[in-house]
Amino acid sequence: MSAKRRRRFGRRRKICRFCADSGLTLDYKEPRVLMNFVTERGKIIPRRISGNCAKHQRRLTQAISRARQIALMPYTSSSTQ
Amino acid sequence: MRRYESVYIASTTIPEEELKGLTEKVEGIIARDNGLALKHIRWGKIRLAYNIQVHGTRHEQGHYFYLNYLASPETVVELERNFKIDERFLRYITVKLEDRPDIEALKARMAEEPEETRPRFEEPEPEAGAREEPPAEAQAPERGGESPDQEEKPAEEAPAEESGGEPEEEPGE
Repeated sequence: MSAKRRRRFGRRRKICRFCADSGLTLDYKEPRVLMNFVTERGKIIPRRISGNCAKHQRRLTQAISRARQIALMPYTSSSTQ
Repeated sequence: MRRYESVYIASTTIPEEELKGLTEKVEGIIARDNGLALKHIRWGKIRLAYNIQVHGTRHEQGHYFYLNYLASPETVVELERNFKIDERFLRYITVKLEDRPDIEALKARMAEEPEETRPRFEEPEPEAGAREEPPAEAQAPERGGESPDQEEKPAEEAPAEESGGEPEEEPGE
């Protein structure tokens, strides 16, 4: 939210978190990392918002898709039924 | 020979001894086709992100297993066929890691650090498996409880872990 407010004036350069932090692993087996890149509803946050680079966004979506397959991450947050 | 990894989920309704039988069955399939299980780890009982229904039984949690192995593509087909047939498996995923693994190097590494890589059947490092949530009853009453089934998840995930439970709206920072 604060980021949104700031944007009205000088735009802050967004950086890819995976490029900046090499220790941050991008793996479907680690939903804790992936959870930072989905909305509360479980939708993947677009690149234009998250600031990820193309390469890492591609890997991210792949990882999230896999994590969803094995029920490590939700397809949607509203629990079934 | 290629190197794959599989994650599969076994039902929590089956007894502990049968679980061991399941993992042996999986390893048996790989061994039968001259594959080699490098790592077979039990992640433990983990709450599913969504409920999985198998033949009328709704599952809210599952036993997660991780398997890292050398095998031929045909072996993978056979393994997945078994995952599909057997109702005790809820889900599985197989990912190819390497097309042409250096088998000798892998074997050498296995001999070097047998503790790490030998197939095993035990509780691994807690961080992956320690997602067993506290009993839901503790939280349920005060949350109104219109539909306890749905309330359960957010209520217990939040306190159970630092970051994984609640997805952040803004990852930009």
